[in-house]
Amino acid sequence: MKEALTISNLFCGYGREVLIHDFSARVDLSEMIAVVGTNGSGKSTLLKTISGQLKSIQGEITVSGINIQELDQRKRARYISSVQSKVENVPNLDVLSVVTLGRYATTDSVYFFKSEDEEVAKNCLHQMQISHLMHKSVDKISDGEFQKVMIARALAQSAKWMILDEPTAYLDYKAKNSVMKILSEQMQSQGLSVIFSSHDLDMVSKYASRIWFVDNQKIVERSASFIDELRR
Amino acid sequence: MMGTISIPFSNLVQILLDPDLAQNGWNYIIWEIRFPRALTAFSCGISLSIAGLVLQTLFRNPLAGPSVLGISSGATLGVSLWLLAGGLGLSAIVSTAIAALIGSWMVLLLLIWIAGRLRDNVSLLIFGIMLSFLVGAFVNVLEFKSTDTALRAFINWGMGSFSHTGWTETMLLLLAGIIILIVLAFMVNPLNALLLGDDVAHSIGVSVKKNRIIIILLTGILVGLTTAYCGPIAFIGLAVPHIGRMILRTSDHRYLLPVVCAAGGTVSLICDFVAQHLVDGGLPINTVTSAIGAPIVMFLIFKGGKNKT
Repeated sequence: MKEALTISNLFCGYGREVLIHDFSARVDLSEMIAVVGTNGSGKSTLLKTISGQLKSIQGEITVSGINIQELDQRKRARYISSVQSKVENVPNLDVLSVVTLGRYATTDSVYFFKSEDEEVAKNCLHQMQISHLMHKSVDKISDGEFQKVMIARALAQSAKWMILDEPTAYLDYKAKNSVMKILSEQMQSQGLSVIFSSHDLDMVSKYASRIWFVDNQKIVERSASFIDELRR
Repeated sequence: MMGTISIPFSNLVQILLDPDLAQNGWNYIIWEIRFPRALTAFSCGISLSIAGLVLQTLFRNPLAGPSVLGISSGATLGVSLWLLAGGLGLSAIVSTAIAALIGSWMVLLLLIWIAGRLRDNVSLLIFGIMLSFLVGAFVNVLEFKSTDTALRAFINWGMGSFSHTGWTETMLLLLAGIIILIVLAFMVNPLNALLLGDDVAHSIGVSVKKNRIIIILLTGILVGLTTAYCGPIAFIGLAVPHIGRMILRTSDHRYLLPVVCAAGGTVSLICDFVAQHLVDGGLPINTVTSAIGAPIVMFLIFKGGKNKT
């Protein structure tokens, strides 16, 4: 059976407040999907629900046929990694330690990381082109660099699906392109599938193969050419 | 190993190495008074400091500590009920500990119940502070209604002291501290992940809920036992983790945990030494920990410019 993340008749929101109604979709490997919509439309809620951080109100999300709500956190993190749009009160931890934490779900040494875990983390830093930051504390680097560190941490997780909430929000134009390019390369070489939300229509039209357009509590799937319609 | 009676260093070594040959009075002072007291101070320092460290990590708040969350107040309530009821004729060693543990567990059970319903730790912290006030008010009512003898015993205990413990209490404190320290050593990765926030910890596969409950339970044991035998000790739990971060310049628990542990024991011993020697007749330990701890926290806040967990 082909590996896929499937969303069936999903209703999500907080408590009784339903933000997304009856959404179904399938995400195969090596796909890049952009979630587009206005502020407060429920994009982040949808991404949190898909990554298992928020329980769905109704409906089911499965990875390779397994319902994600039936998996414990570590097992779920082996399938799905996620990157938040912003982390408040960044601690005084060095970059390499933060990226190595991404190995928590996959390492066979959950209590104390092995040198192999650190090697994987170094490789992810190299892929994100931030090896030079390795020994810097994450509270001493820029927001854009921190975002790259968090993506490197998600890559270290070696999950097949990566959920990113506005990954380029704090990046300059050069860094935006470089991050999306790296994710695109990962998609082609490692079979990674990326679901990301963004307000940057240029990035969306350049990199996304499919678009989930969130409007009025419903999600409509569109092709990449939809961005031109939106611009008009 | 210092006190009002001076014992030469050479005799101290002899007493420690070969107690049978030493002068009986000195032998008693060292083995039954000073050594348990020093070990108690060291163990309490370790317990309160590591409790403060993991609470600050869990709540991602530099102001979190055993006393702030109401855990110390819970233990105080338990002990005050026991003391003000006249001790009920039970063995003090066991019953004070049980009373403090029941008190802290009551607060903790409430915190755990609330923790399952509140997603963010700041709300939980505010809840803990309010709980602390509420329990404090209840203790005040108990004090008001108690007899003079019971009230004196309670006030004496409430000032905090490392001198009321014998070997049994000392060994219990030390054992609990060591076991919990070992458990926490196996939790350094989840603790580091929690520093990045609940959402990040969750996304890398750390069960936030499970770790939150483990931390609260372990903290309850550390604070409950310390409070039972030495009274509510202020500021060590809050200040020492900051000292550890200042020394190491990192929040990484792999390094912070052993350093905070050593610093906690040392600071506690220094505070006890100052409490014994600053004025004739000695000072309550809480006076010293507050006088030393509060300026340290203030200094760190001014020096750092920003608070870090």
